[in-house]
Amino acid sequence: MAQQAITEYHAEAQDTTYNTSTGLSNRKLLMWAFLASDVMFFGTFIATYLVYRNRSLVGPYPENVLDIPITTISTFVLLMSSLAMVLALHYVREGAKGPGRFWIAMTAFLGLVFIIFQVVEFSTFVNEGLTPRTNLFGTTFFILTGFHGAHVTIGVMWLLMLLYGSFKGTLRSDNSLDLEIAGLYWHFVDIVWIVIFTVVYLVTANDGAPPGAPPFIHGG
Amino acid sequence: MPEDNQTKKLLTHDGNGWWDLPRTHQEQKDPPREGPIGDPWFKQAWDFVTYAGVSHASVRGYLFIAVILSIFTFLEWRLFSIEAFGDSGRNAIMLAMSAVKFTMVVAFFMHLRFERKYYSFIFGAAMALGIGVFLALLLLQRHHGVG
Repeated sequence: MAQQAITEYHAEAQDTTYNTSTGLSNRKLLMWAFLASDVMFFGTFIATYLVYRNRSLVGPYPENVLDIPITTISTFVLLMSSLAMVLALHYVREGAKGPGRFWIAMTAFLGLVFIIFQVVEFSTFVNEGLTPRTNLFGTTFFILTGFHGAHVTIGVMWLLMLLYGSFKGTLRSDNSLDLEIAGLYWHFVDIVWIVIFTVVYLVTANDGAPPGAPPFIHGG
Repeated sequence: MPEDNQTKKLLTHDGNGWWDLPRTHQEQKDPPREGPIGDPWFKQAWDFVTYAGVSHASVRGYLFIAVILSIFTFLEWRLFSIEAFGDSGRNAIMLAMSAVKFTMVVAFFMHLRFERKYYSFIFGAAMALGIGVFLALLLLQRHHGVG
């Protein structure tokens, strides 16, 4: 009895078998391959940020501009967008159109809120004198977080297209793979931010002027 | 294709390892002691929050994961302002919590825990390569400097 249950369970878990050389969906496999390449893409940027850590010759330095409480809130928003995304997929798979649409819209909305946080943060930094050309901190920080923000922006547009598709009838429970692939992308953006939040914000937020460099004076 | 074909083993669940689905069906009231700790209540509780009986977690499972992610993010923020552990200790704890959050999102939200191992292989290989490049750059900087 138990063995039968396990067998049935594994049969469900095997998902659909596709008529491909691997038996897997080529589209899903392609997304995983893309995410694998993006791991190295962001890994290189984060490593570059750390390599040039404490090497800025002029301010502002991380301790002068990084706002941890605000970034913690934006991190929480992005984490909740991942929850919304996975709930959207759950309900679309079940054929529940209303909840499915609601959670897709919620995911896009929370992504948009995150982007607004980032735009405000960038504007504040520029007002305080930090641009990509100011110092090595500015260059590496803006490139890393800017590329991440671009990924989030693309994800929001993708989600809005899927939301539109759900109203037009092109997103249904029988082709929920479309949403699943978008979800993989969205969750990946989330895990990249989990790393950035810790490594870039929390670990280096107290970095001040390196030895020999002048301290930064606001408005100085 | 023979049953013991290595490629087939790679592409399908074989019932071993952490990434596999729980082997106890939720309708089985008294599961055997097979969890890592050995207590049935732990295994039942774990299955309750992570297993929906299909190839992904349940809604309550997702909510449970989201609560853990939120708590860890809050703790990271609080830890940031505590100086008792020193910089190295604090950074190590924060990086460990970050790794847990990363793993939970990949395993449950990205469904890798419930997927065929081929996807885990692709992502795991990329992670290994990415971390290798990351460490190589840091070591190069430490031993040879930059710029």
